[in-house]
Amino acid sequence: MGFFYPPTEDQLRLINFADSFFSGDIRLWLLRVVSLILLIISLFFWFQTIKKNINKNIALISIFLIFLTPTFFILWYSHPFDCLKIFILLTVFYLMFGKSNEKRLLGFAVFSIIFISIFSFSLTQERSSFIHKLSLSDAQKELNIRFDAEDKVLNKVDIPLNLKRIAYNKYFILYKQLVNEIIPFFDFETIFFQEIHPKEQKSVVLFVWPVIFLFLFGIYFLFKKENKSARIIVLSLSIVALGNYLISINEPYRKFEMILFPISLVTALTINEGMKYGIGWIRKSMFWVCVVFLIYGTGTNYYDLFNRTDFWLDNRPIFYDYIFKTISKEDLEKYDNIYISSIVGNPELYCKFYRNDCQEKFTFKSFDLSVNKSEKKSLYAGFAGEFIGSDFKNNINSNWKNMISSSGINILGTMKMRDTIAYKYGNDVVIGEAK
Amino acid sequence: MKKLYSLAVILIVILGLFLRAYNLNKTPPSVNFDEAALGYNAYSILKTGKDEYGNFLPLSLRSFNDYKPALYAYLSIPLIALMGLNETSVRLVSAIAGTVSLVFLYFFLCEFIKNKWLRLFVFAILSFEPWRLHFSRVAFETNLSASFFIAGSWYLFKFRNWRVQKGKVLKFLLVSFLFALSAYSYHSARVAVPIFITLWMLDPFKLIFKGKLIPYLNWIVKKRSFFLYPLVLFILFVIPVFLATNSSLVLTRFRQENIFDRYFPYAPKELVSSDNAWLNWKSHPVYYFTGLLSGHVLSYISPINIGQRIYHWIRGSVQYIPGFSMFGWIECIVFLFGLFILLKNIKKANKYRFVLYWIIAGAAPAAVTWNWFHPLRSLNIYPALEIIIALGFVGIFNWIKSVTPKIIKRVIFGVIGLVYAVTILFIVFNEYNYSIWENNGEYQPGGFKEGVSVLKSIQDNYDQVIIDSPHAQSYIFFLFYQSFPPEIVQQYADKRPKPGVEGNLNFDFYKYKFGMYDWPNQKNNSNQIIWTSSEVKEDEINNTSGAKIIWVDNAVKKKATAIITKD
Repeated sequence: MGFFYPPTEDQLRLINFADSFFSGDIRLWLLRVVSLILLIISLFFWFQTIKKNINKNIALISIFLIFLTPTFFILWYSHPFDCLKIFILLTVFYLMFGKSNEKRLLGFAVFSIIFISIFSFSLTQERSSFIHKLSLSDAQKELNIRFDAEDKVLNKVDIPLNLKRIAYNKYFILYKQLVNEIIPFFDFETIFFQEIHPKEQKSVVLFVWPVIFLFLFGIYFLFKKENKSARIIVLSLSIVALGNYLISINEPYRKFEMILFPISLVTALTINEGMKYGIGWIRKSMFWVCVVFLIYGTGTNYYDLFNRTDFWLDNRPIFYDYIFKTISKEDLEKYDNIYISSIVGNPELYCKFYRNDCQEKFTFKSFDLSVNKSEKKSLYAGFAGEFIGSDFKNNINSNWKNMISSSGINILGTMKMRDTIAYKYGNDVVIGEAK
Repeated sequence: MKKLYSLAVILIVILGLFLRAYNLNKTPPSVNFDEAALGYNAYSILKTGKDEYGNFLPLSLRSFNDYKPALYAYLSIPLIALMGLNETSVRLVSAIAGTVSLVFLYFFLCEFIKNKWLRLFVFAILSFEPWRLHFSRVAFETNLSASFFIAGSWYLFKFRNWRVQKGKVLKFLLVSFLFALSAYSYHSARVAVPIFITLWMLDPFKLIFKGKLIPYLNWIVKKRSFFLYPLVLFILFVIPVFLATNSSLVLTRFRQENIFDRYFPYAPKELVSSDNAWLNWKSHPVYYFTGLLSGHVLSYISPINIGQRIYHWIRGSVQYIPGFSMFGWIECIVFLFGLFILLKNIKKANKYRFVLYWIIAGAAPAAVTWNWFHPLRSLNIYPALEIIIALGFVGIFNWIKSVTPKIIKRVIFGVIGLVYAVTILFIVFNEYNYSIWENNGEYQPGGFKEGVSVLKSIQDNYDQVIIDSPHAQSYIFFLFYQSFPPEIVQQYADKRPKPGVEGNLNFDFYKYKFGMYDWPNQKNNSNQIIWTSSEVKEDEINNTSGAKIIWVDNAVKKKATAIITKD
């Protein structure tokens, strides 16, 4: 059983930056090792803080729980910037919480949120949905929709406009929208039940489901007198996790990545209590059932992640990996032009990673061969919809292979994607040549 | 001050009743399938003593072969007798039940919140929760059931020590009777009540914290075994439901909706390599099934579910509240704080464990169905969730009090009060008007309310009425909206789809014949009316001699139905 997932764009940006020092796959693996080291140092800081403020056992259990989660694995494997962010936050956390102190809580939370904002914005240049809402434009839009909809009701209950305005105004709607941005942070399904998520949400497992029982019992232990420090740590990191959730614009497991720490700590409190001698066989057996399920769940989830990587992770790197690996088998000398679709990412970054020569012949943009005629001696790589024309409902003609062939293009390779990542263009990747 | 406080409580309850009962005929704009069925069967019993199938005073209404508990229909009878068969008379039972439920909620809040002004504030917020307003304005059997359930729970809770021997039997009877009424109102309570009483009797969390079995068992025998009486009494009360009807038919709904068949082999299908799923040790069904079941139960304490997330099986159904899930937005976050307070105190006082058992028992019937989260089937637990929200408010208010100076504290409380006042207005406006727009569709089919009265006024002049409707049970609207004589409907009982049959349950009766709209063939027949929601080419009708078309708009001013007359 092996794990393969192509490099992400974040990784490629860094790899290309260090292009002059190393070459080939080794660059990627070096980056992964660096990411892992950053996370391990972060865990070390976490361990030290917990050890100092609570106890060594709980610190050990907590880092063990974090280390086991599939999210931890994917973070160092694919997301170097997230590792860096966690490293910086945990380092500051360690420095500020030499001894847990309520006054420092606010300082750390404020620093973290400012840092995460700057960090996220500098990477993506995009505003998160939460920040976007502050502009009031969405509130105004929603308000108009509401008024419009109610006007269309045939036999409505008459409410004086002045009274209606008290609740139907853009400031109240803004309040509604902002709270609605915060509520998804309190999502047990994503945090504890991702493996059987009722909405089949595409994300990586944060915690396997047995953890929720240990977590809920952990709340009881958290509020015990002797755990005041733990409460301060959990509260401060939960605020940071909320800030990270609201400001990030990534996949759910990356938005939730900071929650790993407070939840692992609360869970560790239960496990620590469960391992104590003389707590009675009933509690002990319940505890061990949970632990056995937890260990089994971790194993089974890694098995799942390794076998259905495309189910759990972003498919865009898989798309480019397939394209560049397939065309590398071809003799590209015979083509005058090579068109690679840019519909789901930045192909140039991938090209630089998979090939040394990405100049002259390569064009990295989306194409539409249903409108523009294919050029002779050219190679095209993209989605089926780019060959035969897009459909706004993503219903691409099932006879697309024949349609492409009859347009004079010789199909060199095809692959069906699991998810719709290029809406309107279908789920089939096609590489074809126009002779 | 005491009088002012009591007056405020009474005002909240009265305002609660008013908001629930106001304009019930307008919003929701038309009855849904189940409301129509409950109303018409009540009307049928009122007129003939029999349901639409001719069953004499039934305990379960066969209706759409789903054997609805009949209590709601029986309670509607006096109102229908007084006001006639219409939206208001059918929904009023639910509105009253929802208001009565408020009284018991208040009793519970008295047990959990000592500061009376804070209690009043929390009571005001909880009284106008989106779910309370929405479920009380529709004829939901589950809302009636939840009201009896909270009443039963209150007395079960109140008599928790049962030390006083005097009146013990009456107390047992009262608890069992209220719970039995809950079970006669909706299926879920038939499962939830025995689990609830058993959990409360055994108090398993006490065992977990005590950790020693023998002293625990002694405690059960000496101090808790008397709970067997209400349990046995409840079972005795409910047995007639199963005896009166073939019990396998009463379980029809469960067979259709259960978790066991639909998800097998529970693990992701691509990972199940062995022919025998149970031998698949890498992704074993036991792990996934246990997770699924745990998730189903715990979904009811997931803040996002109770405050915002809308699942696809909820959207477009009668339980959908636009803009909300069940509670207000802030409340679902406050709920989490309340949950922490509950867990913190779980060992200390049994009243906290009572709330937890209530939730587990109430969620159990819904948890064994395929839906991850289903408010309708778990409505019994929402008052318990409200108690947790109340705990959350208490925790937050105490914290604000402890960390802020008096003036700032007043400002904060003032702002919170203002925000809630506006939120309540928003909830009311949302329920009254906006939800008409959002809910108009499959489960609130338009056109029947507006069209049947038109049909009634002209049908005597024609031999036949052909109904072309995409809805599998649309016949019920033709019965409901013209208070169709039940004696005639009962004559067709033998010709209707047999018990157990699902899908299309429409049947031909009187002048009504259910079929497809096919104008090229139908235009040659004379003396007929065609009711259709299919696409109609108006020119074709107008060009046929003797044919006329009457368009019927639905609640959102869209053409819903065409009534075509052909002389």
